[in-house]
Amino acid sequence: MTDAPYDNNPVPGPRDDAYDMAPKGEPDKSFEEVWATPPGVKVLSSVSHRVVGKRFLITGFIFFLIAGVLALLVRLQLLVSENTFLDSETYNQVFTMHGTIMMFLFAIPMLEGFAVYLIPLMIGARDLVFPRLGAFGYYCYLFGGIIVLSSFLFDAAPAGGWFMYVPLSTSQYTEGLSADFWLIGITLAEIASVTAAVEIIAAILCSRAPGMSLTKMPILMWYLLVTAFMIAIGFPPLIIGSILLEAERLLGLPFFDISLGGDPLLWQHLFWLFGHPEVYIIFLPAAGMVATMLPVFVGKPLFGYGFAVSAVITMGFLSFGLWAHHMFATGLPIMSLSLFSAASTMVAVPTGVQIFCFIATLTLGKPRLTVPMLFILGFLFIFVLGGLTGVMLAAVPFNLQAHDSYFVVAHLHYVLIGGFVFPMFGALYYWVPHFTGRMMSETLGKWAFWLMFLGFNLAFFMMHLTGLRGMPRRIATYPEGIGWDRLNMLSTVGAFILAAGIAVFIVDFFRHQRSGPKTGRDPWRAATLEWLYEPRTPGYNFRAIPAIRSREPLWDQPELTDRPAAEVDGALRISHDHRRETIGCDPVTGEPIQILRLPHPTWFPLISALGLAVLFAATLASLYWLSAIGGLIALIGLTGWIWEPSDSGVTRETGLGEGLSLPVNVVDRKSHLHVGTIGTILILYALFASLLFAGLFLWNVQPEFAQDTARPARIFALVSAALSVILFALSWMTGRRALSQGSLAAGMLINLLTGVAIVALGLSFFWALLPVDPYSTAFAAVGWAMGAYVAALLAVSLYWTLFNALRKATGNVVLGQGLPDLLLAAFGKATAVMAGITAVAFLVAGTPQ
Amino acid sequence: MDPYTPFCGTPPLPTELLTRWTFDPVLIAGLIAAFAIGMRYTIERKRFTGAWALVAFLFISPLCAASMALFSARVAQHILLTLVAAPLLAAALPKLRLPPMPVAVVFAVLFWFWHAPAPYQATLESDLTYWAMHLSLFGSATLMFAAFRATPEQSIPAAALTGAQLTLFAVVLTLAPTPWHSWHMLTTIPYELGPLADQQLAGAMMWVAGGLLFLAVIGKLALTFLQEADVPPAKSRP
Ligand code: HEM
Ligand SMILES: [Cu+2]
Repeated sequence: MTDAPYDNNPVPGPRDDAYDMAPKGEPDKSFEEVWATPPGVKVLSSVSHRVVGKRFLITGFIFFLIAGVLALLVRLQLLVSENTFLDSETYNQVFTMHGTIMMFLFAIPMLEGFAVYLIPLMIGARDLVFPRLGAFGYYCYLFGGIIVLSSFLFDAAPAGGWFMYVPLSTSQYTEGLSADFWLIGITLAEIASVTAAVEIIAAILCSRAPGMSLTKMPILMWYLLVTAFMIAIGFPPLIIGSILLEAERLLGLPFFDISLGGDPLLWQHLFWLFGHPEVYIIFLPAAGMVATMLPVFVGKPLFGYGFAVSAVITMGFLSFGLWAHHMFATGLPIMSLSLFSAASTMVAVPTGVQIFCFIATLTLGKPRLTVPMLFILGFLFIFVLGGLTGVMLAAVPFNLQAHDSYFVVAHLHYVLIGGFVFPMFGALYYWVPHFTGRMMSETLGKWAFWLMFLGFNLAFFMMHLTGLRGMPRRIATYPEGIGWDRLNMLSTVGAFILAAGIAVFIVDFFRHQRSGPKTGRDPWRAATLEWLYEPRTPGYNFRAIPAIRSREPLWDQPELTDRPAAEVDGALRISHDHRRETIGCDPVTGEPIQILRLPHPTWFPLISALGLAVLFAATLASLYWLSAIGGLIALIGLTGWIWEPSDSGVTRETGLGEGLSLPVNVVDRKSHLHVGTIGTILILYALFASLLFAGLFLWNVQPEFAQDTARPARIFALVSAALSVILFALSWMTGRRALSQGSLAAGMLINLLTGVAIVALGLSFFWALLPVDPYSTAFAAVGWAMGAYVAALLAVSLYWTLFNALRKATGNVVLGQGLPDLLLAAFGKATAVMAGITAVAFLVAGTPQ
Repeated sequence: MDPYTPFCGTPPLPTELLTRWTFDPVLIAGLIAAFAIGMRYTIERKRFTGAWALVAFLFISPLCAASMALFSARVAQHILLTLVAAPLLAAALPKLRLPPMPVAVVFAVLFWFWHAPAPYQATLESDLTYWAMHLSLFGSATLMFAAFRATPEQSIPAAALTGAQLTLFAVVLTLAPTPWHSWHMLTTIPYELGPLADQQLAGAMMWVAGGLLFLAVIGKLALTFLQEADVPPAKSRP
C-alpha cells in the first residue's frame, strides 16, 4: 500500500504527434460484429462479462441444487429417530459437503455472477475492464468445484465439517485424501473470488459513464465495491491457512503441532478471520440488490442513500474485528468474552441502519407486489428474525448453552437463507428477463415464493426448538422419545416444501424461455441504466455511452428514454480502430479521462486456468512432475495473455462535448490497470499480514519454542534489508520514468538492474534462513513460509521486469507506452516493502534475547 | 539516590485513587498555552474546546494516577487520547493535505513502539520520555485523522492498515500468556486483579472499545464525504 489508488500528479499530456501505433483490431468487421459473441465451441473463448456472468450464475445455481439435494438427504436421515438411511461416516460427508458447497461454490460465485453481469450495464460500460481475468476466474472456479465434487467419486469426501478444524483435519486424524480435496479444490475456486475482487474494484472505480461521480453510482455499486474490498482482505487468511495446513499434511511442517510449538487455535483464528466477514460478504451484495429493486417497486428513490452507504462501509470494517465471537468456547480470556459479546451486538447498528432505510423506502409509496417484491418482503421478515437470534447468541452464557446445537443451525440458516437466498431469488425474477428477453410467470412465481417461504419457516423455526431441547448439530441419529421426533419430522416436511418451491422456479425458468411473453423496454419501470435497451441488450451494451447527471438516470434524464436506445447521445459512437473500447473515468469524479481498450475473445484465460487446474489436481495426486507441467502451461498461457502490443500513446475523439479527444489507455496512476494492480497488491499485503499474524501468534502463545528456534543469520538478514531498500529505489525510478516518458534504453537498463537486485535479494534471504530447520518448530516453519512467500513475490517481479526489458529490446514498445513499467513499479515497491518487513522480522528474531 | 517518582505519581491504592489529581504546574501551564494558541487558529471552536477538555481530563484526573497501577487504565487513556481527542482535534483544524499512508505508518510504528516493554518502562523513569510518548502518539494520531479528513476517498487503504494494526496489537495483548510489563507485576494486586488479567482486560478493551471508536470515526468520515460530494438531489418519478 505504498501508493494511494490515485493521486493528482501532473501527467504529460497525450502527445500531439500521435503516432499511429495503436493496434488495429478487426478492420473487416462492423461495430456490431466486433462485439458479437463467437459462435460454436469458440464461445469458450468469449470474455464478455455477459457470457461469463451468466456462466457464474448457472454454475453457481447448479451447485446450489447439488448442495440442496445433500441437505434433503440430511433431512431424510433425521426424519425419524434411529434412522439407518445414511451411516454416520456418509452423514458426516453429506453435511460437510453441504456446508462447503453452499458457502464456497454457491453463495460467493453467485454474487460474483451478478456482479460480473450487472456492473458494466449499471455504470455505463461496454464490458468489465479486465474481461480476461473474469473468464480466467470462472474457469478456476469451475475446475476447483469439480475437484471438490469429485471427492465423492473417490469416496474421499471431506467429513470434518465445513470449517475443517485442526487437529481433526491433520494427517494424523484424517488419513487419505479427503481433507486435501477440500483444501486444494477450495483454494483453486477461491482464486476466482480474489480475481473477481480486483475486477470489481477496478471496473467500478475506473469505467463509469461520463459524469457518474461516486455519489451518483447506483447503490448496488457501493455494496459491491465494499464487498470486493472485503473479499480482497478476508479471503487471504483462509488461503494462507489452507496452504499451511496442506503443507503440514503434505510436507510434515509443524504449523499446528502442539508438541513443536504450533497451535490448533491458529487455524481457528485464520479460519474465522475469513469466516466472519464471509457472512457479510454473502449478505452485502444481496442487500445491495434489495436496495436496487425496492425503490423500483415503490416508485421512489432509496431513502437515506448516504446513510446506507456509510453503514455498508462501517460494516465492512467492523466485520473484521469480531471473528473471535465464533471462538467463545475455546478458552479465550474471560475478560474478553463479555466485551466481545457486547461488541457483537453492535453489528446490529449498521445492519439496522440499512434495514431502516429499506423500511422507510417502503413507506414512501405504495409498493407493487410483484414476485421480486414478495421475495424482498420475505427477506426482511426472515433476516430480521435471524438477526434477533444472532443477538441472543452473542450473549455469552446463552452461547455456551446453545453452542453446537440445532439452535445455531436454525440461526445460521435464517441469516443465510433470509439474507442471501431470498434476495437472490428476488433478483433472479427481476433480472432473468434481462438475461433471456422474456418474462417469467407471475402466478408460478407467487407459488414458488409461498412454498419457499412457508417451507423454510416450517423447517427452520422448528430447529430452534429442537436446539433448545438440546439436540446437538452434526449427529447422524438420535434416540426416540426425548422430545425431538415430531420437531424433526416437521423440519423435514418443511425442507421438502421449500424444495418444491425451488422446483417451481426451475420449471418456470425452462418454460418461460420458450413461451414467456417478450420483455418490453424497462419492464419494471426501473431507474438504472441496465434497462436502457430492450432486453436482450446488444453485445456492446451501449451504442453510445450517455452522460449521467442523476442517480436514477432513467427517471430523471428524459433524453435517455424519449428515443430508441441506440440513438441516445453519448461517447464513442464512432469506433476508431475496430477495437472493443469503453470510456475510462476518474475514480472519484467520474470525469472521462481515457478511452479504455478491451480485449477480444481469446483462449489464453482457459489455457492458463487449465494449467493451474492440472497443477492443483496433480499435487493432490502427488504427481509432482505433472504439477510442474501444469505450472508451465499456466505460465505459457499467461505470457501469451500479456504479450500483446500496447495501446497507449494515441489520442482519439470521443464524441463528447466540443470534440473532446482522450488518450487511449492513459499512462497514469488513475489508469484502470494501475488501480487493478493496487487491488492485487492489497490482496498480497493481506496474504503477507496473515503470515505475519501466524508468526506473531505463535511467538506470543508459545514463547518457549520461539526461544528454542535456531536464529536466522543476522548478517544476511541485514543484507536483505539493504537490498530491499535498493529494490524499492529501483522500482520508484521505474515508475518515475514510466510517467515522464524517459528513454527506452535507460528504462531497459533499470529493468535489468531490478532483475539483478531481485536475484541478489532472493539469494540473501535463502542464506539468512539456512541455519533454521523448518521442521524443528512451528515458529521456524512460519519463518520459512514467510521466506517462501517473499520468494514467490520476487519470482513474479523477476519475470515481470525481464518481460518488460525483453519487450523493449524487441521493439514492441515505443516511447510513451509506459504502462507496463508503471504497474511493475507499483508491484516492485510492494514486494520491496514486504521483503523489507520480513528482513526486519528475521533481524528481530535473530537477535539473542 | 532519590528514587524517581513518575509523572502521575506512585501507583495509588484503590481507596486513595479519587483524591489523586495531577495538578502539575508545568502541565497546567502547557494546557493553558495550548488552549490560547489553539483558539486562535482553530476553525471550529466547539470541537477544539471539546478535544482540549478531554486531553486535560486525561492527564489531570485520577485516570493519570490509575494508569500507574493498572495497565488497562493506561490503555483506556491512550484509546481516548488517540481515538477520541485526536479525531476531534483534527476536525477542528484547517484541512491539511497530507499523504495518508505514510502518516498512518508513522502512527503504527509509534503505537507499537511505546507499548513494547522496554520503552514502556522508560516512560515510567523519566518525565521527558513520558511526554515524548504522549505527544508523539497524540500528534501522529491527530495528523493521521487530519489526513483522512482531507481526502477520505484516498484514505481507505491507510484506514484499513490502521484498523488492522490496532486489532493485531490488541489480539497479541489479549492472548499473551504472560504479563509484559514488569512495572505492573505488583501494582494491580490492590485492585484484586492479577497482572495478567489486567493485561487481558487492556487488550480486550482495545480490541473492542478501540475498534468500535475507530469505526465510529470511519462511519462519520464516510458520511461527511458523501454529504459534501452530494449535490442536493431533486428526485421523484417523472
Ligand atoms: C435449501 C435448504 C437448506 C436446508 C434444508 C439445509 C439444511 C441443513 C441442515 C439440516 C444442516 C445441519 C446438518 C448437521 O449439523 O447435522 C445444515 C448445515 C449447514 N448448512 Fe444448510 N440447509 C439449506 C441451505 C443452506 C444454505 C443456502 C447455506 C449457505 C449459503 C447453508 C449452509 C450450511 C452450513 C454452513 C451448515 C453447517 C455445516 C457443518 O456443520 O459443517 N445451508 N443445513
Ligand atoms: Cu461471526
